[in-house]
Amino acid sequence: MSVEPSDDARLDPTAERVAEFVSAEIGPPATAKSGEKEFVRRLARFRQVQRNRKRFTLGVAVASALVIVGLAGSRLRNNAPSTAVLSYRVDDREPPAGGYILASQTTDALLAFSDGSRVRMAPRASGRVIEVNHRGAKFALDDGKLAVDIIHRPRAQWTFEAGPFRVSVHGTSFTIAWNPVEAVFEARLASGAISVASPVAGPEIQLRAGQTLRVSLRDQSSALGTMSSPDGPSAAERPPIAPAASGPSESPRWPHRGWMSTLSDNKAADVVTDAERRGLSTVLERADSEDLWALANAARYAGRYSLAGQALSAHRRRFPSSDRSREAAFLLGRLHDGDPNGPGDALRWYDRYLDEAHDGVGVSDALGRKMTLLQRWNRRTEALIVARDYVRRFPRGTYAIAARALIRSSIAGQ
Amino acid sequence: MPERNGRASEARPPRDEDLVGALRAGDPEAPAALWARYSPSVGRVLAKALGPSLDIEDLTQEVFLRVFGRLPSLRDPSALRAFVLAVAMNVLKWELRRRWVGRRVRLSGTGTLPDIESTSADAEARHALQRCYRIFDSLPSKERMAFVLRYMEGMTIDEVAAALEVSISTAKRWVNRGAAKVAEQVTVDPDLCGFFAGERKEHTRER
Repeated sequence: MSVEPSDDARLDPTAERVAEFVSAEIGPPATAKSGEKEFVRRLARFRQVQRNRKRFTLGVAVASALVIVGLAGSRLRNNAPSTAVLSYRVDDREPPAGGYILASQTTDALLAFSDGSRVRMAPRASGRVIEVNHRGAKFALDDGKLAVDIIHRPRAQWTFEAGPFRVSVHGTSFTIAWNPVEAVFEARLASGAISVASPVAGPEIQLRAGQTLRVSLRDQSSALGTMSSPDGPSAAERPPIAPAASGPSESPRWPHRGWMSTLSDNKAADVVTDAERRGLSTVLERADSEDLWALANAARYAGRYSLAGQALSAHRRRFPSSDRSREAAFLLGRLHDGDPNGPGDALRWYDRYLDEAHDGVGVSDALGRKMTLLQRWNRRTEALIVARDYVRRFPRGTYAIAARALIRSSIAGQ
Repeated sequence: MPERNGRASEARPPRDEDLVGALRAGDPEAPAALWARYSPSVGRVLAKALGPSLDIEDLTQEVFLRVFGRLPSLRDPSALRAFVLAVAMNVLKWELRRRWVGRRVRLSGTGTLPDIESTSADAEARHALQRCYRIFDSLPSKERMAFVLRYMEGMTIDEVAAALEVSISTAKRWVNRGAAKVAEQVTVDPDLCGFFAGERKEHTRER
């Protein structure tokens, strides 16, 4: 430790030894690389909130001034607006009159609200913005799927209606789907909390992060589940609606190992060795999300595919609502891609990923790999269906040439 | 940001004044640049003051969000480093208070404190580290922060005073009191006394 002795009294030698020892034991934190993206993301939200506060303050100031100057009478004071009404755009354009929105056959429709909240309608989905006010909005989903990301604000109030279901939201990310033909409603909650009023289950159902809800009006059945791996029980097999289960688990006592940094230094083997030294079962059960994710990737790079599979599965089980767990489904598909016994497991994982990610960056890749896998196992009819879907959704994607070739060959063979 | 636009400027990192200007102008790359420049040192100070903890990254993020919130009050852009550090000390002060209350409310039934998780594989060192943090936990937060900045971060008294936003004489008094209490408690602790007197040298050589 280098301390200039000139500026003040001499350092206490015992305290100096303690400080030196503690500094050496603590070492540098692993925040710089891993935290930058998270920081930028949080800052964007922070700024959005600041902007909203400024707008709010300005709105209040202007309203107050108007009230004082123009409206001397006390009757009008009660009617003065206190906050700005939200506005929204659809695919960066002015919203249609009446608020009815029909997403195209191939692409999402994005509703961007002025408070930063986003509602993404899947292709072919339809619905209507019924009301927009200063606390949120009310949206009615007629058919299809929505991915919703609501910015948390004090007293925010958002409502999503799907058939006879009503979802109340304060600040959260989730998807809902409504199939009016089958009369099936589904909700998947990534973060936050929502309450769902259902004509089947009686009082409102509270959903927490990582939970899913599926209600069939025809069967008069409801199933509350968690977003887990396909190895686990299906939603229908889980017990009926009960008090909410606990959220994703992360041991508070896990000493963060910073394996992501080690991995970025191309030391995959070191990560695996360290994990083995600490006991793989302990690591799989206790490691935090970042370390577990680093271990999964390190094992993949080191050719330890079985361990990689275990780590990815553990991550999905323990952190079911995270983006990494969604990506884990895709990576598990890749791990099983070369199974000599058949494509079943790989296809199941790719489908799981496509179902969960719906608009994620890896969708094109997963769809393309699924197509080539089916081709490889001579399941041409299914491969052709995927190829057509691929070309429609990603006409310039990596697998577009292969997909078109497959479609052409099927036409030539007819 | 200007430093990314030319080869000559790429070689030289932007000055704090430029960085503050970019932040105030809303340059989209400025937040990442600020994070890259100061998050390692902020994270290090927090980790040393609090011990290894899962909260460090969260707290570091909290520090930088507060820096952004208070940026309009920064009068001298060249003093960005001191400004960031002062904000970090403020966050640290509240975190120490929060933990103190937490211990009083939830964990003090037996008078024992939760174990500090060390990254060391050496059991003796882990044990010593736990005992050191128990000593730190017994210090008033201002003396603890002053001790960390002076003894662990190697700051001058002037720098400690600036970071803690107190006078030089106050900073000196806090540093000296903190160090004296640490030394005194180490001396009366038979394990730590032995560890730092003789065994520590051997331990360091082995490591």
